Amino acid sequence: MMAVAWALISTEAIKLRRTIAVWLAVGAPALAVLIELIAVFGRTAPPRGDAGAQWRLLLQPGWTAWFGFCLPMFIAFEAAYLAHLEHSGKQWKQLFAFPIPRWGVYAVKMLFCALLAGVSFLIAVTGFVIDVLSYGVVYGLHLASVLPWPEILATAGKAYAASWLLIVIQSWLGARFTGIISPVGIGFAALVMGFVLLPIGEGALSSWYPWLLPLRTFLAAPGDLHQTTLPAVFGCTGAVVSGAIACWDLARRRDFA
Amino acid sequence: MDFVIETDRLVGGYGKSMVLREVSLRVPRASIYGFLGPNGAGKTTALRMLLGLLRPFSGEIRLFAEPLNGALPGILRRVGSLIEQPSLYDHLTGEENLEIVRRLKFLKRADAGRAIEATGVGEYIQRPAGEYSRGMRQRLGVAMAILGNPELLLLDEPMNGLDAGGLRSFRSVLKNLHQEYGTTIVISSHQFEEVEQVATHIGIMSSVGDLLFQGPREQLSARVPQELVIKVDRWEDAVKILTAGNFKVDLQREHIVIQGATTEMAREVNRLLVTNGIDIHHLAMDSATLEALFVKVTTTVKAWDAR
Repeated sequence: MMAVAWALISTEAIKLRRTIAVWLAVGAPALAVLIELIAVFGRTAPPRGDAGAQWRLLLQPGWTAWFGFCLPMFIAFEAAYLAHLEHSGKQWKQLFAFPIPRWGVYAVKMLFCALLAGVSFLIAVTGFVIDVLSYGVVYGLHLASVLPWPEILATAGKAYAASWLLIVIQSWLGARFTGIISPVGIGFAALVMGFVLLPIGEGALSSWYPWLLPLRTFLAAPGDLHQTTLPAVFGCTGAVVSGAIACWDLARRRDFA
Repeated sequence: MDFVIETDRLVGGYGKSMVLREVSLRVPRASIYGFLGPNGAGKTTALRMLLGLLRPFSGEIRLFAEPLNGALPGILRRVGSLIEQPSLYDHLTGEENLEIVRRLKFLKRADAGRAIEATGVGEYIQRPAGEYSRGMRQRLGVAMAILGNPELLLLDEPMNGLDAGGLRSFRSVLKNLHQEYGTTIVISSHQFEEVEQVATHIGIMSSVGDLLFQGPREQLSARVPQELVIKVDRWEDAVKILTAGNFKVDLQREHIVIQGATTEMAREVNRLLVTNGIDIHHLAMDSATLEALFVKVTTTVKAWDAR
């Protein structure tokens, strides 16, 4: 089993050489970092309150841009692109003629999408912190001495966990549709739908809508552990369950052009 | 007999369209099985089913005497394949493409080196596959299929796009695998002259997915009626003898021709003439090329003959 897992993981890593997959993982958070930079330096006045509150306020535009738009769109593109690597050269028929379990091929796609999303989270977090620290230097705020790493990492970590369900759904769509346009289009439409649902507030659909889950971990009050943790737990659990169903659904098909 | 591939009344196709009709393949161990048929006969469909890429509507498949359904995917360790065009990652080099196959087949690094050497892809293996010509892609596809010297090799139109040098080296690779490792090889093709040079067994599909014939190459010649062309020293006497022996003979210039002959008949004619003191200068079955046999089979044999 370990040999099979290693074969699948190492070959997936080879496939990513000289592709835009890694650049996407850099470019998407870079966009959010840029939005954060513009928003922070566009403030008319420095935020009030203690350093913790200042950090929270200054990071808000970045988190919102990242969790609300850049991250879901990045996942839609990345998942579709990873699947497209197999669709484009009609690779499925060759992959499934190897002595490897089919579900493993799909599971590794999801795993790599999650890994690349993890990399993009690290880049986003680092970029946001640099943005805020730069703002502090320019406006004479002593933000570096009270950098709230635990809170920042907890926010990012929960949103990352909440995004796994989205990763599975988009990977499923990517494998099902042969082109990139359809899964990305569905992802974009679902995201727009999420913006419509968002003002509805605490309704069941709005609370558990996969495209809103990362944002949900952040929108609740910082101290409200229940409200910020629940979407993350739901995202993880949902990813495991839907991931298993997705792998089963994709692997049972036997008609590869 | 020990069969590596056995199918029982295999029926299948795509969606609602039926491509294969009750095909019962028998591919003996260590044979080179030329799988012939016109375009759309179902050759590729059958090979896809043998790899588990397509589910049959009905019928059974056994590879190495094991039912395929229960043996997937582990049994594919013993199988190498090239179905239609090779599936290559164009952004990767040939070597990286080969490396992916090596890892997914759990083979040693040395195996890749041997496949590169055997197929002659070494000179361009470091270049991105997207820059390859059709023939280069085909060669790399063959290298990927033979990686690790599999016990069974399924090749679908492997000669497509190969130039004369490529064809020669391809034949030598196949013969080498067959002789050195006893590899069972199935080649589906419509290039009869190429298949003819390597195949030990032949399977012929009709245009509507029936298996018209399968068996050793010689059996095909024996089964299909051909022209027997004879040249002798005393042709008038020879005609009399043959006519007395109930053979229907024609005279074409200085040749005696017997239409609808089989190899059995050729033996009988030879015996009859020799015992009657006729010197034979020439006695041969005409139009015995694989292509001619194929045409005769597809026009004269009914599907039920092969079942």
